Amino acid sequence: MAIYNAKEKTIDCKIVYYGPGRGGKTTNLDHLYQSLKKYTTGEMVSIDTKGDRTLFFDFVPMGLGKIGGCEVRVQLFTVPGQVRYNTTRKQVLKDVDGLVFVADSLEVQKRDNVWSLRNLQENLAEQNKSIYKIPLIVQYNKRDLGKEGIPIMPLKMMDRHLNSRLKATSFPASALNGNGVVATLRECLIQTLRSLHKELGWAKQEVSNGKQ
Amino acid sequence: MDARENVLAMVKEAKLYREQGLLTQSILKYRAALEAVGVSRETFEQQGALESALQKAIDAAEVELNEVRENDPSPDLSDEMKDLIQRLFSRSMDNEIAEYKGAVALARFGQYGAALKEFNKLLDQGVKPLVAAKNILTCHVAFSSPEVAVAQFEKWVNERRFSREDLGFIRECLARVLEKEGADAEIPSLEELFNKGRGEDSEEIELPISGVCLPRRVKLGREDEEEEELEVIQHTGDTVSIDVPPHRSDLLVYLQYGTRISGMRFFTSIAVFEGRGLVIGRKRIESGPMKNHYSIDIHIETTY
Repeated sequence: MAIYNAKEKTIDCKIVYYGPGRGGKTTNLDHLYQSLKKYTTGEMVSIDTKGDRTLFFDFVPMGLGKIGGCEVRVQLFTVPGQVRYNTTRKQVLKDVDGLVFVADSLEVQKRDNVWSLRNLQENLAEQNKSIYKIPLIVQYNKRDLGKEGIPIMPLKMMDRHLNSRLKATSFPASALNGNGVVATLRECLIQTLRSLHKELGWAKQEVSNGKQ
Repeated sequence: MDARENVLAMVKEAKLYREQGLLTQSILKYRAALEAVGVSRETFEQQGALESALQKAIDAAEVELNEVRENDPSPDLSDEMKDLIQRLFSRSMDNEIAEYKGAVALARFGQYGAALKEFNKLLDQGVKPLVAAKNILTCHVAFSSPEVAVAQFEKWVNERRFSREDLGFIRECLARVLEKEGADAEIPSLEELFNKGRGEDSEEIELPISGVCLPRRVKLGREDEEEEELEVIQHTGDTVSIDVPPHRSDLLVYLQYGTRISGMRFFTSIAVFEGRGLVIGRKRIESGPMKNHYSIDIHIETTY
């Protein structure tokens, strides 16, 4: 849960990018770090990544400026996608306020997407959080690969497999060239701040109108 | 799609999966391509060379996959990264809770040595002492060995650091951790440990140990000395805490958690005996006349 300091008028919240291994979570953060420089408040940190695989997490700090009289700071994290790093995923997921589930559009990744989504549901449940209630955006990444003749799943099919019960807002994306990346985060931030407004009762007007 | 086009498409896919780091999928696709070439031999003029190239690609992807599988899942991070972990995962308005969360995060990321240091600090400060104790034992089991965890528990019993009720709780926690890890280390019952402390069931007279001499092989850093007696700060039950002054910091390399040292000599006022010890704790003294010294806890396992 976000930290709301009423005295200093600051809110610190946490957004986590979740999804199967090699699905493009780090690429999402890389693109955000490069393209939203004016909002980042520090360097992007990638801890000990071997062969481009995230072993711990990636991190980007952002500042959204004043919303409803409060300075809003956001921490963006990724989790390692590989099955064996569940302890790390649970740790990164602690105190999460909003989520982006980065699904891999490649046909061969169909099962891994479902496994990862179920794993997210279980890990959230351990924190007494419901996947149906937490602000969550689903991103269908690697859409560009379809043009190269590589078998990818149609969006409708992905929506049916992953999102028919969640009914989360979803975006097609290609993190490698940046398509859909900022839009995904923007929507996640709006939903997260709305949810925090409900819980903390701050920033009445601007968040509920989706400003900034 | 004819056989040639089919194989080309499969190879293209396999290459892309490899680039994406999807190694299993890449291997499967290369194997499918290899099989397709074998089925339609007449279609491919240089069928042998093609098969050999595909096999090479499979072998290379398998080597990479094995490397990934054999990677240490939680390598030791730099101090800077450990600090960052503590800072990022200690969100709380309450400073004590924040410190505790930071220590838990270090343990969760496999940085057990650093986590032990933080949990011991919290225990010394009296912050959530039972939770800190439970985590110290969990870290010992993961980081060094179940024996070190059991010895640490015995030390707390000897020191009467917790109430009997709390020690019972800690013992239960340790039993659960050992069971979860499938370790068969035996934890003596509280009765047994208290009786041992009182000297019941035993004819032995406990002599206070005033000094410890480490065997020569441990003192690799100082060849000029024959023997060096290290002062004992505290002796409780089967555990001695020895003082390592800053000018002997070379010894710290050898005095790691879980290290067993045979051939140690323990000095009492009237006798010297030899034995084997297990390092179960190390702490840098932060204040007072012994500031910057290290206190090393050694559990005496056997004497002879």
